[in-house]
Amino acid sequence: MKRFAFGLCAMLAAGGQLALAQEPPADEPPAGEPPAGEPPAAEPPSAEPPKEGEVKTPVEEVRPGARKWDDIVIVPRRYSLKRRRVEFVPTYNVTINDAVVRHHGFGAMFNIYLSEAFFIGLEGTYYAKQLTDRYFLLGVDQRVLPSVNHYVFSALLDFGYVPMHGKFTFFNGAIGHWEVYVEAGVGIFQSEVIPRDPANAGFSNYLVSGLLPGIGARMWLSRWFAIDVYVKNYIFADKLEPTTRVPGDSPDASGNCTAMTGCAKDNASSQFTVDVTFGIGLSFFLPPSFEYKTLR
Amino acid sequence: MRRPLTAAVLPLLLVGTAHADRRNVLEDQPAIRHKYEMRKTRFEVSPALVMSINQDFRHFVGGGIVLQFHITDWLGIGVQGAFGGGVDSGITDRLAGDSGVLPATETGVQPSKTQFRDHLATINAIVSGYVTVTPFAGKLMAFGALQLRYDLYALAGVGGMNLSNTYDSTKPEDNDPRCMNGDPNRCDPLNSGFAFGGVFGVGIHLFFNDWFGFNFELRDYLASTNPAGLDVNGDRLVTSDDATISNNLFFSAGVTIMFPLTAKISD
Repeated sequence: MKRFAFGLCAMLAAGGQLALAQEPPADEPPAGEPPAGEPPAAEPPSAEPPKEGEVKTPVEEVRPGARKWDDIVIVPRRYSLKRRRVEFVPTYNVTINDAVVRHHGFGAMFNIYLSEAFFIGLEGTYYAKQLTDRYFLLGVDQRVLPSVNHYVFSALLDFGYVPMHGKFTFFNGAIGHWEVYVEAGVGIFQSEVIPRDPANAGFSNYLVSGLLPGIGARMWLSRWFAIDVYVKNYIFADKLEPTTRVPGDSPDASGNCTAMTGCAKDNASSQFTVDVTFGIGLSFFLPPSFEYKTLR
Repeated sequence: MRRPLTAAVLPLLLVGTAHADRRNVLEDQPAIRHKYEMRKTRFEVSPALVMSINQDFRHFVGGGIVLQFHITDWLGIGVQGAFGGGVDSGITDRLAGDSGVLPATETGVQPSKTQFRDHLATINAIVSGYVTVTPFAGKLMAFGALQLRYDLYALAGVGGMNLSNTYDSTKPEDNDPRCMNGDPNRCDPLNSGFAFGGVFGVGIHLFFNDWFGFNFELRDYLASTNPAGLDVNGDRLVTSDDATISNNLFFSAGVTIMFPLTAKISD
């Protein structure tokens, strides 16, 4: 009997909740309507009653055939907020516009977001050189040894802006988010001459350089992790090995050159250089979490 | 007594069963409803400016067109052709320009400027037929004001490059027996004709409305060529063995017009 009583109580409790969830009690006034006892507030009589056809309901105001997004005034909130967060991006890049030498760069970027769109950052890259087949063939076929410099490292201060952000579907299934950023910067490159004659010593150059522009895209995989792809255009005036080297134009232990022509570095020709790199990176945003502070 | 007990427990079990059967109503539903079908069963015409980006001696610059039919939203077939001419690269200017380092007349081992230029291959045209897959499509906001629809696609197919050179093989001095005696500058460069190969690429459409947009593409023509027209393998002869399979990258920027001009809207 006790079991029956418990069962009955539970059934009534569950059934009652279900019933409540399904329909509002009959004695409650419907939402949005004034209580029955209260008369509606008196409206001032209009000077002239509206004529037929002058009054339009919201439904009638919708223009048939108009594009659907024209009526959308609220957009979904951003997938990830970046303001007051920092971004750490280990990168790999490769130079793509030099036929005789290719550089593989390993480095990192560190960006601080001042707002959702603006950031300042530091980037540093160490380069490893790879002479191409063309470098060899120019010597074999044209009997010419080109002046080639090896980049050692670069370090720049960057200023960036995020002008575009968007989302996509993958085969109309999963939804992804991405954004595009543009950068400009100023910094330093170290290049090192690869001597045509291995008997000669090379020399290093420290070059003021610019990043103008850098364009990248970031695809979010989570709210703190993204994949970066970018193309950067570095410009600087490189110093190339003189076409004529003479004995004694390399500095000795005391840094002096005994050649009549002075040091090879002093005779180096200046060459305006455009270094285009393609790179990929992994973006880590810190702190990993954030709070939306505005309404959806 | 047993019947009332069963009657009391059964509704509880049913409530539990109902909870277990509850499932996300959005499951298996498309990510986007009422989507503008920008590609499905539509025909695309995209005229473009095309240029090469990794040629060592002569860049290709020309105009081209893409004709493509999108069978589904994500799958399409297309053909592309571009026609133009060559522009000297920085290396060519330094070697054979007005102040180039090559001599005006051959020195026996070093080609003259004219010989060097006569051996260079110039790309006159590129053509391809391919399949496109468009896995990514969406909307983007530029500068908080300009909303665009876009898609990212990849393509793969077959194609090739039409190449020519200015070497005159009818001149007696260019059919010199010195070619066979180890002077590749006196050999026919053998780098003209059609270089057949595979074509791979990626691209993006940026649509301003239902039918008009921008199109940017990067294509790689994988073909066997000898762009310098000289000895590559070190045997001091120029033969077909000196051609090597290489990546020939081309960038194109153009506009896209979709037909019919109105896009359908999905369910």
